[in-house]
Amino acid sequence: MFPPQCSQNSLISSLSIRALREKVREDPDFLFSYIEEIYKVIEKHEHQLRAYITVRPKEEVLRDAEALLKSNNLGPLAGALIAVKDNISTSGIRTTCASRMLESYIPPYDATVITRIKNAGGIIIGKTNMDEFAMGSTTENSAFYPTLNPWDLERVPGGSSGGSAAAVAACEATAALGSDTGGSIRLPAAYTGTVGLKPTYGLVSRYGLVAYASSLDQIGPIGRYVEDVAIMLEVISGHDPKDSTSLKVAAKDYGSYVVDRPIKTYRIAVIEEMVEEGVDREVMAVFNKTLERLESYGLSVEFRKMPIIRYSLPVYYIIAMAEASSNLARYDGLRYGLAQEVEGRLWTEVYKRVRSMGFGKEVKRRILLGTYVLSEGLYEGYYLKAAKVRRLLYEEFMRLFKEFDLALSPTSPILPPRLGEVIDDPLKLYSLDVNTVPINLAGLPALSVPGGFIRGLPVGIQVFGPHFSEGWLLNVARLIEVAGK
Amino acid sequence: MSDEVVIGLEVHVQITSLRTKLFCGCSSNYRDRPPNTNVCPVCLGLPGVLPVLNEKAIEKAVAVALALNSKISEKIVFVRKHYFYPDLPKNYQISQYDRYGLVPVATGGRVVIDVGGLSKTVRIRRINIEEDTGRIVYPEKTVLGSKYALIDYNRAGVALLEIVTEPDFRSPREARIFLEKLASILEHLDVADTSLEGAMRADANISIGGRARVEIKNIGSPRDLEKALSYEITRQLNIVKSGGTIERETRHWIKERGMTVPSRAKELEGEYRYFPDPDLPPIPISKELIERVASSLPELPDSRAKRIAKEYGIGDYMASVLVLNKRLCDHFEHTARTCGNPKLISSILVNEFLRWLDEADIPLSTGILRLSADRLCKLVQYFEKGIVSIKLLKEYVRLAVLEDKDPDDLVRQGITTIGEEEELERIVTEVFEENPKAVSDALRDPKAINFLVGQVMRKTKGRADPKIVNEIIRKRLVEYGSK
Amino acid sequence: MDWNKLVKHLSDLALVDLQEDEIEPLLRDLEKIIKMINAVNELTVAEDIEPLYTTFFGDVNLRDDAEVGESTDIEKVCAVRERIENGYVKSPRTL
Repeated sequence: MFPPQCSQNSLISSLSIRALREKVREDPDFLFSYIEEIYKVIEKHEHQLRAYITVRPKEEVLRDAEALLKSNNLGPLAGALIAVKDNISTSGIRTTCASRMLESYIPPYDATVITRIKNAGGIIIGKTNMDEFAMGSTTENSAFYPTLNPWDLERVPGGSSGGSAAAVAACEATAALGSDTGGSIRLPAAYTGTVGLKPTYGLVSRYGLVAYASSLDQIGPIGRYVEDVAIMLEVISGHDPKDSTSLKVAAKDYGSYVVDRPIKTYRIAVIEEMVEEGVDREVMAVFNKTLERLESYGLSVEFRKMPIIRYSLPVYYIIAMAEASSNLARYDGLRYGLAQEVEGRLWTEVYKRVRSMGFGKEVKRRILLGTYVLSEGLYEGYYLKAAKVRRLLYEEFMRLFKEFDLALSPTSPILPPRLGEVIDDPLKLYSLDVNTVPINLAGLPALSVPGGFIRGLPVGIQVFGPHFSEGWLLNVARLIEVAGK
Repeated sequence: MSDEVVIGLEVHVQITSLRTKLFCGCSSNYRDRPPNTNVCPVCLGLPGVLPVLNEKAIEKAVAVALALNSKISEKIVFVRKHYFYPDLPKNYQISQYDRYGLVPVATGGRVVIDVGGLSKTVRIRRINIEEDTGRIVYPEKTVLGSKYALIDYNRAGVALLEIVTEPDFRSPREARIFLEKLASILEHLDVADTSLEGAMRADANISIGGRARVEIKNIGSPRDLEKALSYEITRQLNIVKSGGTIERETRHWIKERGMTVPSRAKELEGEYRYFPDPDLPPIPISKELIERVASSLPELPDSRAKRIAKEYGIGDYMASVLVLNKRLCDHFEHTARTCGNPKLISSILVNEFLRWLDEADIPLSTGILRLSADRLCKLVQYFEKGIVSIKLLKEYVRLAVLEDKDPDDLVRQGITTIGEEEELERIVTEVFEENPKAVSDALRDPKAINFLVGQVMRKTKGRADPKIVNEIIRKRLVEYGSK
Repeated sequence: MDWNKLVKHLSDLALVDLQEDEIEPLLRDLEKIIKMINAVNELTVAEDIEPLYTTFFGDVNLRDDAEVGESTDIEKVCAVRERIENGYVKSPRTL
């Protein structure tokens, strides 16, 4: 099921990666028709949706298509038009992180994932909107404009990868890349009815991802279909010598896990704290229905308590804000980004000007708070303590996954909020992430897959598991996808 | 209060023996390159980049820790040290720390130095690995005359070792001797060539009579260290004498003016907000690695001094001076092995060669080229054969070092010792005839012979062997006297 | 707790000033957020629990000590021509 923007010639604009690849291999000229279709959708709907910050000119993309066909490199992503979140470096293409600070910054290098996408035959169609520097859960923190939810233009698409998710849902791209630090791929996937996956920490290279919180960030795929996400994951994952935190593993054939039956008789856990009060009743209904469907495959579902998970939000925000304040220290306008006159002034004055003008409200807030928790005398009480609680949480998950193969939860406790509904109350905003944040703290893989609709609004189901369980996650996600048809 | 001087050092040394920077593949050889031509996204701190550690840096750090008898940590842990400054691309430096369970690459250790014949142990507090910053220059040459500054990032990211001592020094001289020894150890380890400009910098902390501690930054050589500390002691004692108090502060050593001045930059110690760098998980230092490095550790200055004193029979003092500089010592051994006479060679190198380098401010490498083993050996042979006297030998050395003259050329020019008796007899006769009064003086007072000797030396332009001249004149005087 | 003073101090440390219209909302929310993160102090954690700073558990990548690639073109990065003078990056004074 697709939102209205897609339905215009939806047979073409909603093609899966595999279907597109097969068509292109069979009839290379089809690629040009495909590109025309997608640009038609963009022309018609983008001014309203605002999923993109930069859309590459059609002529450029057509040229890339020609070069691709000539090169005969019709790899797994042959012809796929990939939308890239604007915090992933693309050489020669503006990369703004939705911030005035980097409004005109053009990177001189490609992120590793971009190189891999191109080598697999993918074409970058544009850079998508996001919360500024990935700080937010609704894409309302973009310095430029908010992105709208294709299913309901008065609601948010989620964040911080809201633009990527909206573009994919509305068929303005074949698939997309997002980044996830506390739920930033999974939440927008849930709110836009798409599939979004955050890999095991270290599986996908972070080289080229503009850092928000380095020990939590991961790049991941967003697609309309589980299989598309599996194919994207295979293309982008695997060892990268440019990233010290890149695991020395090769990419797996994730596509082979996308089959319509369970590969294993999964023992599934549901953490009670993730489904108790605070979760919308209607969302719970969809979630429970999903559990029933999985049980009908012969899979077992059990509920478990994990009290320490209640501390995830404070632990997450302490760590994320601390690391963010550090990662954003480099923005001083000297070498790149927003510039200010330097003559006749002291460096402290110039830096303050640049940073005060270049950063938005939420970013400043997190920088100041991050500075606070790291400052002299407070380090032990905050960052160090949070890291210790993180260890305890991690060990709890390890224990859980000795007994169970996977776990499920609603991705978000509520349906997609309206624009402006949560943005002014920080605690309300942060609580959207309550089910997604613990995953990043433990470095586990997780995805969100559409589980159903409530009054035309999508509900996402989060599936997560131990490190390297992406194959199983995709398998179970496929079962849920099939059940939804 | 007493006036006891207490000094501690923080030495920053570039690991010049690495080919690339600490966290990226840019060259570590940044000198003499046009600005910003030795940079990459990583060392420029562009958005999205990540550091990857130079494997060899670990071995170099372990080698230094072993040589300084330090305790090597089980893991290498990097932290971020935050402060805003134009020469710091990320506005944090990747470094190490020693609190909250975060450890430097090595802690503890000691270096034994020789201070005027007495042995002194200097304790090492810790050894850190960290990255260097870029360089700031000023368009109008002076800081105050320029409205803005200019930055060159070529040096940003070069690998540094920070070696911190306990405050064990009691005089500027001790500090200098330590720094010289440390430089020699690092050179013998093939870790750093401290003769390269900017390769070794020292900060000194000094407290006199238990008063406030003053930090002096920006000292580039052992000699400057001694000068800076001596100046500071005088400055502080003057303040105290005139009734003032010493404030805790940071000062800069201005070499050109021979003084320390207050640092005007704000120092925000304690607000560095250290935390472990999430981009660089801890790296274990295996026992195997340590053993491998230990077993292939080169000969260090102390052992070398003992060995060469014995092997070449040159005495402890000579040996200790030679090992202060690895290249000098290499030169000595190479030459001595080529043509023997180590006593003479060591004497030439220590007493003459070094003096000329110093006086004319010639770098050691240039000096070694000019007074090559080849030339040095020739000199030894000519001396042994009597072609040059000891005095002429010294002259040859001077000409070789200062003017790059080859001994053969000098010989060809006829600048040799005139040892032939005949020639000298003739000249003595000349001198006697020209200076009758001096002759009568000398007949009366033997000490007055020196004037006549001097005249002969003048006529021979110093080429005569003074011993022989003396002999001839004495004999002649005896002859005259008997007439 | 003097929030104003705290915010001023943090502004100076992080070199980030708040615009006029940002101060009020921040001061209002600061207390709430700090209260939220203070929740970690409710938990007593044993002394010997080792902090978890990264969830990377593999072999840390190391790099060969060999030169890689050409130097980045600083003019391209800086983009704004006025930022470069004779190859140097212009910067404000530090004294």
